Amino acid sequence: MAALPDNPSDPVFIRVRDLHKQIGQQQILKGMTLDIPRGSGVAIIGGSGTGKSVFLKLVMGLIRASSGSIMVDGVEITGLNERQLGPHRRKIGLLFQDGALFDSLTVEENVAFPLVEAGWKDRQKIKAAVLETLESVDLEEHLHKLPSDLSGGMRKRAALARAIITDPQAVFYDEPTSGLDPVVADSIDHLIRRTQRRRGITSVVVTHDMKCLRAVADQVFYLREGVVYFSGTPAALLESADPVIRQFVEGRSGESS
Amino acid sequence: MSHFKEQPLPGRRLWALWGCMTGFLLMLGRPVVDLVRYLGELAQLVGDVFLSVFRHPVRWKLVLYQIVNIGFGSQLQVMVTGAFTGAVFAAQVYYKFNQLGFESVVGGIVALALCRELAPVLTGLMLTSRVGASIAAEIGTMKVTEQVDALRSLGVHPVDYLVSPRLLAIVFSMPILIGESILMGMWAAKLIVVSLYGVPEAFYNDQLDKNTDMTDLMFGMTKGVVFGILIVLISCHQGLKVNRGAVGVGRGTTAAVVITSLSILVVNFFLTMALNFVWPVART
Repeated sequence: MAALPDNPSDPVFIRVRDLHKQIGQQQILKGMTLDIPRGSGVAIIGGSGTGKSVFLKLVMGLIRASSGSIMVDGVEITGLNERQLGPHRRKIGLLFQDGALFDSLTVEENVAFPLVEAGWKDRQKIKAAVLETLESVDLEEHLHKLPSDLSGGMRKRAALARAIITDPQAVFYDEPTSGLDPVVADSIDHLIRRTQRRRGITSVVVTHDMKCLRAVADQVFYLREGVVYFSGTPAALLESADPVIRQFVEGRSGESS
Repeated sequence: MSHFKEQPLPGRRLWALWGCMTGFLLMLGRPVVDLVRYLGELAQLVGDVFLSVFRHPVRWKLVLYQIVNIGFGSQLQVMVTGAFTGAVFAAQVYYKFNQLGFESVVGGIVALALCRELAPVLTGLMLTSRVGASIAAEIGTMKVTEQVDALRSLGVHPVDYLVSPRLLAIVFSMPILIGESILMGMWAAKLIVVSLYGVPEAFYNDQLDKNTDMTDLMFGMTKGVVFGILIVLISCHQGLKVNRGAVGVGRGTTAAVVITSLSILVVNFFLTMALNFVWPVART
C-alpha cells in the first residue's frame, strides 16, 4: 500500500531551488533554496507571514510557484497540471492546521477515505486498517463521531490518521500544536516522532513552537524575508549567537529590554 | 490640468472628448473583462467536468446520494409549485376564454404552457433556490475550511468528487421532476376547469389531446436538463471560488442564486427559439 519511491537511490526527497511566490502584490518567497533528506525530521520555522505554510502548499502542488524548481522524489512538479499532481500528492500526507476533516463524514469514514479512493474494495480490510491507524493515534474509541463532536487535539489526531493510513513517503504538518494546551501539544509531538520512527517517513513540520521543534526535528530551516536565513540542527539554532535568531528563539518582541 | 492650459480651444475640446471616451471605455471595459473572465472560468469547469465524466471513473455511490438529495428531496417543492401554477393559470385563462366562448380549450392551453414554459422554468428557479444555494454554500464552506485542499492533497480532483456526481444526479433527476410538475399542474388545472367551473370533461380532454403531444413533453424535459446543468455548474463554480471566510460563503451563495436565475431566464429564450425548430407546436 505504501507509495513507492520513484527515485529511492536519491538521498534527497525534496529539492527546492530559487523558489519564488508572489500572492497579489506581496512577494512571499524570494528565492528559497533547500534540500530535505529522505527519512529525516525537518522543522521549518519563522515569523508569521514568512511563507512557511505557503512552502508546504507549493511542495504539495496546491498552489503554483511564480518561478523556481521543486523536485519531489526526483520529479519536477512545477509544470504538472491538477490531474498529473494526483499521484505525486498521494506520496505525501498533509496535516492541515485545523485538521480539514470532511465534516459530513464520521471519523471512521474520514480515515478510510484515502483507502477507498485508492481503490480498496474489501470492507473488512478497510475497517481493520482504519482501526489499526486510529489505535496508533489513540482514537479508536471515537470511530463513529463526527468531526464537530471532537476536541481540537482529537481532530488533529484523526487528521493525522487520515494522512498516514496509506503509508506515504512523507508527512507535512502545518502548525500541528497551535491552539492546543501544553499536554495535548506534547502528545502530538510524541505522535509525530513515533510516526516518523515507526514508519521511517520524512516529516516536515511547520511550527512556531520551540518545544515541538526540539521534540520532532533533526534539522531546522529558519525562514526570514522569503529566504532560508538559517539551516542546521535544533541544538545549533538554540545556541546561535545571531541576534535575529536569538530574538526569535527567545520570543522577544524587541520592545522588552 | 496643466495640459489643458497649454492647448488652444479646439485642442482642449478634443482632449476632453478623448478623456470622456477613454473614461467610458474603462467603465465599460471592466465589466466586459470580468464577464469574459467569468465565462472562461465556467468553460474551464465544463471542460474539467467533461473529462471527469467521460475519462475517469464515475463515483456512482455519490451520484445516488445526490439523486436522493437533489431529486427526491425537491419533489414536494416542485409538485406544489406545479399544482398551484397550473391552477392559477387555468383560472386566469378560463376567465378570458369563457367570455369568448372557448372555455373547452383551456386544458390544451394550460398543458402547452406547462410543458413548454412554466414547468421547466419554475422548476429551474425553485431548484436554484433549494439546490443551487445549498451546493454553493456547502462547497464554499468546504473551500474556506480547507476541505477542498484536503481532497486535493489526497490526490482527488475536486471536480470528480464534488461537481460531476451532482451534475449527473441533476441530469437524471430533472426530467422526472419536470414530468411531476407538469402532471400536478395539469391535474390542478382540470380540477379547477372541470370540477369548479363545470366545463364538460369530454370537451376538456378532447382539446387537451388535440393541442398537445409527446413533443411538448420532450421540449420541457430538454429545457429542464439544460437548466439543471446550469444550476450545478454555476453553483459549483461559485462555491469553488469562495475565498474570504463566512462573508465569502454568503456572497458566493447569493451570486450563485442570482446568476443561475438570470441565466435560466436568458437561456430559456434562446432555447425556446431553437427547440421550436426541432419540436414545433402541434397543428390543431
